Amino acid sequence: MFRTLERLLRDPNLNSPPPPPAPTYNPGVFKIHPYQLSQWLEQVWGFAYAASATFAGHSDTPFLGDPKIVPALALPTGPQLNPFDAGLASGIPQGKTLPGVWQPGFDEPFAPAENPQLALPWEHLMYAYVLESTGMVEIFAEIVRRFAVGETLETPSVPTQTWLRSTEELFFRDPPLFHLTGLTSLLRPDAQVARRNAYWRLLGMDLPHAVRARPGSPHHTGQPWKQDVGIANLRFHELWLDLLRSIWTGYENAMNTSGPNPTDPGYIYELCWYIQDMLQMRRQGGNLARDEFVHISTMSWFHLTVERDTPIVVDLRAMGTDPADRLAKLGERVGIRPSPRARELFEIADLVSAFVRFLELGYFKPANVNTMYALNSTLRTDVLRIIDLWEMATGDSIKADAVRLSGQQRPRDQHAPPPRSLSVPSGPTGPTRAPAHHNGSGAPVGSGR
Amino acid sequence: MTPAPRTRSDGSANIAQERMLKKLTDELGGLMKGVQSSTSELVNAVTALADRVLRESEEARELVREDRAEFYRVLREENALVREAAAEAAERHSREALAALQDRRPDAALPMITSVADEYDATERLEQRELVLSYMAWLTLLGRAGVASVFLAQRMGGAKGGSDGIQIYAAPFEQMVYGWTLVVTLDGGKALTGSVTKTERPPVVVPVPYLRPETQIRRLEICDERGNPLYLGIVTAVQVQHRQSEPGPLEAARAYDEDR
Repeated sequence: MFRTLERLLRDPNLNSPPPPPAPTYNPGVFKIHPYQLSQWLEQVWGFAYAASATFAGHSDTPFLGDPKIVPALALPTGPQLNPFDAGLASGIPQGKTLPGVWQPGFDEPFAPAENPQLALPWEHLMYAYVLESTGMVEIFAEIVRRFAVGETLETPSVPTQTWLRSTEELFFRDPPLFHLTGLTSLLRPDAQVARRNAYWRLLGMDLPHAVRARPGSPHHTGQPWKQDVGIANLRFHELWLDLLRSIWTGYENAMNTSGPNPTDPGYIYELCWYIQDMLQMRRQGGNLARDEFVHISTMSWFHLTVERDTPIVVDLRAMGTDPADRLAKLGERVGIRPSPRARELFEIADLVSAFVRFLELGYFKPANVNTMYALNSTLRTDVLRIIDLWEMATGDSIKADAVRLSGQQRPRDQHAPPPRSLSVPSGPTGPTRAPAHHNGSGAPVGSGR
Repeated sequence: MTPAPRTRSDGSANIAQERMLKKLTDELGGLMKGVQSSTSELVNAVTALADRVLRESEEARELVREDRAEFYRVLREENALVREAAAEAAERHSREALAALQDRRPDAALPMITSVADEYDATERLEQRELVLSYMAWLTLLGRAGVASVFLAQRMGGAKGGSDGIQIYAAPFEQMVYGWTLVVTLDGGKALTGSVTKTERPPVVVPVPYLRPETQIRRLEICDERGNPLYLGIVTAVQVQHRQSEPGPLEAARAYDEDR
């Protein structure tokens, strides 16, 4: 969300035609008061119904499981004595194209993208999962802690001070009461466990690194995010890989004009349908909607921080050419090494988020599944790049397994449970006994010890 | 002058001298006459030659002048032809470039879908394009730069009892292309169309016949002359907003007893 906000500061309608604007960023997003940032999140949430109900003709398809979840959790607007109550206004000045001109403040009347001229959808939880797999939350938590408790790092500049304050207020402390971002409580005190819980339930996947103990945070043993989960989408990973393999097969044979064509559009549609059902089942009644919103907001803040040479990056002399490079340098300053596949994870995050969202919303029909592999379009370009990057990032074999002789058995995912005979009862299964994923890192999933 | 020769006797010598002198004088006079005649002929010849030279020089100059004028005339004509050809070529190129630009604009917004021959019919092909359009619009609203294929619009109330219209805001259009149509898909799936007849830069209000105030819009697209969707309309146009802003008498509160 914060990356979208940064774009809004430069392009209030988000529809500047190609070519895209220069790859600059507006540093103003880090100057905004954290209260305004928090209010902006409330505002985006409050008008999400417009994004889900009126966008692209899927008014009856839940964007968040149940459209009623939005007004149910939104902050009500009261009498307009407080300017923040005026239609959930954040007052963030938008549309100032020149970074040097932008100044923080409370802007009235509302900017074009505010309230609710431009309803903003947000990234899928997959975005947060992929980005947290880089290890950047742990690195930034340690950076903020070091700055807060001592002077082992460089003296921060004023812009870095504002970044530190916003980061700590928004993501490393209990949010204000009654606000949407307040996911943690006495019942689930640790945000990182709450995130892992959401990943496990919706995507059936664990992060590739262990929970990092922080001062003051509870000491975890085992995998508490899997306790009392009930049903989790444990088949998601298997179906996801099978879908990517089938798409790759279709792409390889898209230009065939003679001979056999192993592409199976019906099977691809079946996989899309299964994944759609699986994801929507976990969202019934608006489940995980708020969790997703908070988690992707957290990740987008850190993503934006390493996406450019931002003040904290400059102050810690971690300038680089890409987010992974900057993150590696930042991690080096505090003794934490990010994922060796961070580059691929950063690249894939946006792509996989939009694609999985479209899968979940049921956009793929038998008549249009070939847009993923046969038709020259933005969608196909993105899907093929997802295949490339997923294979590079996780080590899951996609392209090699997609090439098989007819009559051979369809390859199985290494994480998929072994086939069971219905006549032989298997042992009790449950979340606490579920095998831990490796997710390509080679290291077993942390047990929290 | 030659001196007179001396003789032995003075009388005869003088006579001889006078005779000689006279003879010499005559010869000299004749000679002088001859010289004068030759000089005059020479002068005449030279004068004639000079006149001829002058005359011929003038003719040559005239010829050169005429040649030069002819050369310049031909050159000017050729230059004019070249200029006209260049102007025509420039105008043609500009027209072609503009046409190409206009032809390409929709494709820049939504890449053409091309594939090998397949069994998909026009309806399915439309569904494929709509999927891609939705996907690109989604990316745009997520803040991904360079994929914009969306336009902002607002529903406008028509005359009382009449049909509504759609106001299309400016971005991202340079101008509307003749032949584009605005396709309004209602909640029930019925599609209404409005002709985008104006070619100037929006904002424009496109009247949509049969768009009743009470109907809800599900999807809003701008399609080219072949019916291919080019842009997806977002946000405010799809809501029945004008009903709330229409002036009118306040609705009377229900009687308390009616709730019982």
